[in-house]
Amino acid sequence: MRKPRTVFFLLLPLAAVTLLVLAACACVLAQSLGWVPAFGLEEITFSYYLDILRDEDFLRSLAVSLGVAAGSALLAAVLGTAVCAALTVRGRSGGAITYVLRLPILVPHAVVALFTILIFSQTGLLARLACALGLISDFTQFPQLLYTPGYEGAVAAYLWKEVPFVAYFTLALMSGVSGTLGEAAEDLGASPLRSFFSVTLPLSLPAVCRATLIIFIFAFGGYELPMLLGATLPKALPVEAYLAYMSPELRDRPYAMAMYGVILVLSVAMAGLYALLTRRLLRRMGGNHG
Amino acid sequence: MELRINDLSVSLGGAPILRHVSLAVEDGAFLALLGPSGGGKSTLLKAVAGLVPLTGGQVLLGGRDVTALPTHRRGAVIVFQDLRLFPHMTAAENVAFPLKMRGVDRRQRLERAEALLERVQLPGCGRRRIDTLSGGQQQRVALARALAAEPALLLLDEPFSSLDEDLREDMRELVLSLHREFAATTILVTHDQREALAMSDQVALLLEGELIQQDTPEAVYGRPVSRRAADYFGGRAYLAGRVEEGTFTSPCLTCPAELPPGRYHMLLRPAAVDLARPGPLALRLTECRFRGADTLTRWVTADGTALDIPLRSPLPWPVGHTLRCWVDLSNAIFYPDEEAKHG
Repeated sequence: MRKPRTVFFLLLPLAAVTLLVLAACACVLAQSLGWVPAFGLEEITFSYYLDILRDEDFLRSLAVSLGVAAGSALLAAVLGTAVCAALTVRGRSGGAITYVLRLPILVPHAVVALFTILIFSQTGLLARLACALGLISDFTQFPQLLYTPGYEGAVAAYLWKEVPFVAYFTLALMSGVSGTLGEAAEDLGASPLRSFFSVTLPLSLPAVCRATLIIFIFAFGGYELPMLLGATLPKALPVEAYLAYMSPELRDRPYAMAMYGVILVLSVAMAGLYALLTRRLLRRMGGNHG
Repeated sequence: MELRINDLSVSLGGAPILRHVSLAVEDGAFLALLGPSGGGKSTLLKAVAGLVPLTGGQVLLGGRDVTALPTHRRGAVIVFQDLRLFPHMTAAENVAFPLKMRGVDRRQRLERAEALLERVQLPGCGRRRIDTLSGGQQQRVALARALAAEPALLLLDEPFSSLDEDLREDMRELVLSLHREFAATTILVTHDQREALAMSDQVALLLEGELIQQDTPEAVYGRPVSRRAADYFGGRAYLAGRVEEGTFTSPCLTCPAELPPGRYHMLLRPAAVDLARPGPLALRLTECRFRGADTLTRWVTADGTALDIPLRSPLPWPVGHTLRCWVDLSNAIFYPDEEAKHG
């Protein structure tokens, strides 16, 4: 057993990071409530929140961000689980395949955005290839995949990174369940497909849900991809908040912070809801399988 | 249903686990697959159930070659050592699972599950979650679930190993009564010799991936086919000697032996020694260990061979006492001295 002093020193970096995050959150919340003494604002008020919640642009941005986050998270969950299931069924849960899965996870979002623009934009590689092959006569005939109000480009870029993330995150648990309880189900007469849907998938859900939540929160608060691949209007919430933050009118700072406050509160609420659901799910499953 | 395994071999990760195993179990028979841990017993069950690929050989169930059939179509159901109950289902849902896979409607399958749970002495436990059941109760649920599948072949993979001795005895009784009632051909994997010998119609001894002997419990214990098989059962000693002109001669015993001339080892088991009757074998008492119900005594022959004999306490002899005793040679077993043969 490690000495208490060793444990204390080992935990110091984590404590430092946690403190930093908590201090930043407290700062955001304080400023969003109108408390910015440096700018002569010292009255605590919810009016900034009320103002942005009445603002249609903000509500559109919120809807865009929720849509991008939900779309990316759900599609990544479905596709990532399918990839994971395919690897599990083929018994490829270790070795080289895990390195292949990790590669997209390691690539920064800004680089993914750059690749996406280079490949899918109307002047990108695919458009040039289509032009060279005579499929289109002009670049403008290539379908507009990026910068659309539906944020399909941003969702696609998120998927490129997050589908492998879900698969990698779930693989160890799913292959473990499949090799034991899934095997038992087949032995009791279930076909491999029924064994997967009756036993392996339900018992792997905690890991899938956890990965989905991480993606949702990340995409909801993510700035780079909506900024680089999204439409000019409506803007995603983090983009809108950043622009408000950079506004030359410093006394508008609480509006930017209120937007960040909304992102923060919704993310924490999602995490809380997830924890509640997971606890209930695990209790139903009779233990911790995640 | 009758099981026949022909020349079955299995390798896992390139390492041979089972080598040319051939085995037959009659319809409705109870066979104990006996051997030390790591000998390939569980792998043999999995191979029969189709859960591990074969390197060679054939599995026939009821005369039908099932080697190429997927697991879920074989009808060979395993009660796993770690039970593998589904934690997201209740006890009744676990038992009803095989019926659900067969398309039995919900009401009927839950009724059947409740009846099976009652049969394994778990009445009214159907709605309980798996993690609220004790180890013994979980074992019963696993048994009921396997029976619900109406297996052509029931495979029990060391099902009692994690239970206390009292519970283990109860479970053995239960398994035997279920075997009588359902008449399913059953293979019990165990490394517990007493369990194997007491429960089964036949015992198959599997050592290091090879089937050494398959016979009735009496024959496997009483007439091990090789020294290796005899060694596995322990509690034995060997008297080294030579056979010449139909007589086995060792430094401490001489007896008739209809064998070709050569060097042999005679298997000497405690049951063959009658300490109360004077005879030709000189034994010296060297050690006594009180064990409650009996005392384990160690006797040494003139050539230094040690033999452990359990005796009822108190002992009439002190340590160091020498006596000449009778040896029942009617079922004496001789094994050729392999080293001498090869030398």
